[in-house]
Amino acid sequence: MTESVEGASLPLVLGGHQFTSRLILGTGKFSDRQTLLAAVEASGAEMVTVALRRFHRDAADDMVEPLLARKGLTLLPNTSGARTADEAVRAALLARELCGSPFVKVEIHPNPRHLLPDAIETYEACRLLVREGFVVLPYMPADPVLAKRLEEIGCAAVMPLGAAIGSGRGLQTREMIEWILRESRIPVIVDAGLRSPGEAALAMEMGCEAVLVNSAVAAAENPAAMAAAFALAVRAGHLAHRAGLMAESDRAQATSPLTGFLYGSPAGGEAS
Amino acid sequence: MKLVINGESTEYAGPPVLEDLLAWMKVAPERVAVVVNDVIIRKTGRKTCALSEGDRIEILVFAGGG
Repeated sequence: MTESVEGASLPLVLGGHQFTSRLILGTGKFSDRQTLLAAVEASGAEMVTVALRRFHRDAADDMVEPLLARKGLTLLPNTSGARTADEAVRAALLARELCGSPFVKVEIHPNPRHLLPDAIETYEACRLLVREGFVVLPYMPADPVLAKRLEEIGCAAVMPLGAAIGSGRGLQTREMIEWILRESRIPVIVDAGLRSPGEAALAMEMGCEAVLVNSAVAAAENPAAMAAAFALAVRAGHLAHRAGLMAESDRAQATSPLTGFLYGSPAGGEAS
Repeated sequence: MKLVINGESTEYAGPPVLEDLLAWMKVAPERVAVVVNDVIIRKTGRKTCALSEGDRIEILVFAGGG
């Protein structure tokens, strides 16, 4: 595809930082370091999430170590494990101490059965972390009112879930996300629940500025190939959104002229 | 002295300084964040952070996560 067909590329802007890729990759659940690296490479992602865990002397090789100082890759530490705003703030401060990244994904999900985000603790954590100077990206329920409130307190984007983490149920929250998109003046990034690249393309066609996937790639049969597929899908969906989708109609709208000259001619032979 | 390191009671006989504890644990210092008794200790403060009997120490690294 040529630049003239696509139009000038517009970067994704989060908290003043620019990104070319609109696919953010989660790094959890990969079977080994090589698979993770291959997926990151294939995805073209410029931002990956990481989590915090306790150091173990006898632990297996650190899965994400090669990513920590990789050129062109921004770390997005999450606060997974936190059940309260205070715990999330502590996790964010620890992560910033560890890598210096200004970004934080506020992720507070106290119930392991559904891993749905706690809206109240999330709001409070965001309020505190914006004040601490972080670029805050909250993982949140697809709640249009909450999205506006998070925007008002200074979050750099909102990240409504498509479905429960790891469920692969896709854009279950599509209609709520459409409301968020209509009202939001900051980027909307769908995070969680996606399974197929088609769903990522759809989210982008709707007007999302990026998508975040983890299980959809890590749990695919071929993670690197799936990562490449997601990269294409996100790009296609974004281009489609910018190209302007045709209007829907409840009636057929002919694409060829409906001429009458074919009607009533005898089959075979010439007219007498 | 007895320290609680990452939730586990641990006997440590080295110099009572955080930097030395990390060396004893064979930790790559640039790859961990450390909390002592609920206070985040900056990397620059490890040389001067004294340890006492019963101190609770959390040593954290990055891991894969979504």
